[in-house]
Amino acid sequence: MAAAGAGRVSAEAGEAPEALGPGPVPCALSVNGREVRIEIEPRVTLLRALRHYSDYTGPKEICDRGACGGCTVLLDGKPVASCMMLALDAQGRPITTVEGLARDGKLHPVQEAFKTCDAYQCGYCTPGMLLSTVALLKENPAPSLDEIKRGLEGNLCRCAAYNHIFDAVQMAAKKMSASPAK
Amino acid sequence: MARLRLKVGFVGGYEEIEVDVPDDGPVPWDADSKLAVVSKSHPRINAADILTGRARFATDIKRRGMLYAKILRCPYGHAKVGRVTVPDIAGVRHVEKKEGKECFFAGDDVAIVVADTQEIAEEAGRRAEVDYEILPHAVTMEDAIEGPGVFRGGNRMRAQTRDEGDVDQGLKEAAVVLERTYKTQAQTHSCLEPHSAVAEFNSGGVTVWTSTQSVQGNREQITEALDLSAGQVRVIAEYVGGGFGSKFGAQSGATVAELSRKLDAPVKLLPDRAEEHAANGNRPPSIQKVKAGIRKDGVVTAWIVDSYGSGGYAGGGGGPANPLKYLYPFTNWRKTHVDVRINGGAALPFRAPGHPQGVFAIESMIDELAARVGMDPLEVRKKNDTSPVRRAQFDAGAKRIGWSRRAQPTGSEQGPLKHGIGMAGATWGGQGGPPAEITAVRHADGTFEFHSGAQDIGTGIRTAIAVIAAEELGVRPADIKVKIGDSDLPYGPGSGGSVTAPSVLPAVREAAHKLKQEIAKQGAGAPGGKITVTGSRPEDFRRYRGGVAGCQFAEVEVDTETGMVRVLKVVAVQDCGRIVNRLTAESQIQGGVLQGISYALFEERVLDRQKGAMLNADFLNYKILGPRDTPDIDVVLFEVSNAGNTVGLLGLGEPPTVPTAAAVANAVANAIGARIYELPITPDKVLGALNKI
Repeated sequence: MAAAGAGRVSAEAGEAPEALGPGPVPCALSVNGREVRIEIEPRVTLLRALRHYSDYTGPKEICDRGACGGCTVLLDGKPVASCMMLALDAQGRPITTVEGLARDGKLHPVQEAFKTCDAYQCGYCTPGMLLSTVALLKENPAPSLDEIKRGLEGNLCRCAAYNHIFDAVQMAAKKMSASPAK
Repeated sequence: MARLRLKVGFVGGYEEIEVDVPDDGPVPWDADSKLAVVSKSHPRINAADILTGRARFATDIKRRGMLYAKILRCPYGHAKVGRVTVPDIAGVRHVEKKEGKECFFAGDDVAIVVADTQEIAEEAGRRAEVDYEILPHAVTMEDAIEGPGVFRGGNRMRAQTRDEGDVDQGLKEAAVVLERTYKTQAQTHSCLEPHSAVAEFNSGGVTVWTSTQSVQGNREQITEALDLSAGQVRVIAEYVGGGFGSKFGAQSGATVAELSRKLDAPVKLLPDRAEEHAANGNRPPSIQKVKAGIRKDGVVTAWIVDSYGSGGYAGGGGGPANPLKYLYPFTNWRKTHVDVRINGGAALPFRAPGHPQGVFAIESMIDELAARVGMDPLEVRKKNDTSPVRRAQFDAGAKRIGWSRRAQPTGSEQGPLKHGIGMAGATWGGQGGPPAEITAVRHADGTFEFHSGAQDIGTGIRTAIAVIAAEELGVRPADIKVKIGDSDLPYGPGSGGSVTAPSVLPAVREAAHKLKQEIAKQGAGAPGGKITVTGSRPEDFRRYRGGVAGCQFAEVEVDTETGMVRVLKVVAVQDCGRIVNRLTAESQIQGGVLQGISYALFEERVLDRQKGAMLNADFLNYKILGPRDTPDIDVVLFEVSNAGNTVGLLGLGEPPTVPTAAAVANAVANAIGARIYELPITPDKVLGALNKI
């Protein structure tokens, strides 16, 4: 695996890892198709880099242990707990946050379905739920109820809007298969 | 005043009542009112903000030059703070120490560090050295009741007793008398958004963005804490990531406001999950010893409950409300309650305080009494419950779940997987009242705007305001802009006791009615300039009945080899007064039921008896219900035309979580033929009840 950007710690065999920090170092992230350049200490997580050091406050810090899914973002198109990785390791890889789902002021079909089904209450888990759903439907465009539950099992909702969320996932799946994204 | 006749009650049980209402106010809606907008399903008017990440929670607020505060917390159940040494790390701006403080629970604050970044503040906290003189502690109620005194003035507080009738006579009349002890655990609120706050001081005063259920209550508390004058504090909570009762206090807001004043910079506080679990609220644990008697015909003749509850170190507020009196109006009853202090974080109101724990004991006992006299537990409830609403609900729920399918006799199903059905009744208040003020505006361009100092903690009150306004004005909810969650807006109540909707919405209707009259006066043809009116919530008039009735039926599957309990289905029959927004009403009930299942099966704060610290202060070991634990929930919105106010509303936040744990416990007992007297119903307890371990 090649070092994907400045400041990335390489773990390739035989190659001494670059010593970084502890002070701030440059970090370049690709968020929702835009390049974000920040200066952060190497210990800063991807979640904090997005929330504290740039303006993407969609992903939420809830458990800070990868146990709740509130900080979920898509990295290389796959859902990850952004509290569980360092920002420097995400350099050069496309990141999608909830802010990047709607296009040209039009909600993503998953967002539309969440709206129609009232698939939230306080809204704090919603960004993570949306991204986990987008990832799930990409892998499995027509999930059964049980597959939806398994697909979202890493996302907690304390208000417990789960059944409405399941309804929304099914609704979005139907809509998206009827008119697949170009 | 005008005298009107209103049709009240529910399908199958309507009646007419006479009410007196002001001449110039809106005509109260009753069972025959034909409404175009109200009671339909409406997506939230702020859906796009929630869905795109634009919604600003307190944790999302950033201000120029903002500093981050981190609270250092005591790791022992009871200790005196000695020397506190915070390392000199670049970026640490300020340290406050509480040397000499006696900490009464693991999680009590011993110092606060303010730094340039959250990472630096956390590191300084982690590397701080604190000397403690460790003192004796008691972290369980049993230890506190039986063990030596840990608190000055004793661990036990004064007993409070209430009674009616003659319990001794009642016990004599009984055919069967049972004595049982029920225990419930401490449950943490586990709001996904922590009790966070940002404050920015300037010469005019301070603005505080905080995760609160009461922006105006917080304003008053912060004004007092900082010794400021009225008008100097503004509190904003545009979005709140859950509260469930734990977010009335202004501790976080006052802390950052004070720091911001001292440091002349904006300051943010972000408690982590461990702090949330240990220090930011819980539903208090209970021990309830119940002695009850029943006649052969199913009438309960006596009910005696001796209960203990613990609000943690602070004491008080710890009791299971044991809502005997209004769930079952027994003739002879006595309740004695003792609050016990333990070295745990302070309890805070939690969705229907006291009720889930009280109803768990009551409804478990009713089932056992029914079995002893050979009666259907549902019939025993009908014998003792006088609420016509709940009696009708019993039948509706029994039909939906298929009550006759339950295991008879209990535990009789063959094989290791056993199924059972159980039910429980519930009651709550939540009818709201004045004051509530609304400002309603018709702009020159014809658009409408409604303002309230209430806040939306997830219930959808923003949209409910728009729904009522739209109905009155003859427009669509999406045409109404709603501003809430700012203490500068007109008076709105704190979001507690399920009163927000029934307090605020009659004021909305009042304001919309006035606005309509004002528009008519100015001539409908040419929308002129801006019109602003204010509406106050009128006093209540006669209502159909008090209380919010509900009942739930749960179906479970118990694996008698592993002890695992799975809830397969819940039928939730809920008095919802007049539904404002069907979609969000369903959401409230879904959430209440699922939180109840989570309480029944998974959640428990575990405090270490050796050191006193919480052992499961995260989401890996403190289990809350997740997607795969979620059963099908059949929500039956049981509409009751109530009168009482011009909209005829009830609050739905708390009622649906009241009976769930009891219904699940009764279903488990039905499945396995053995009863579990202690929540949560974890596999070890199931296997224990089956004498397998």
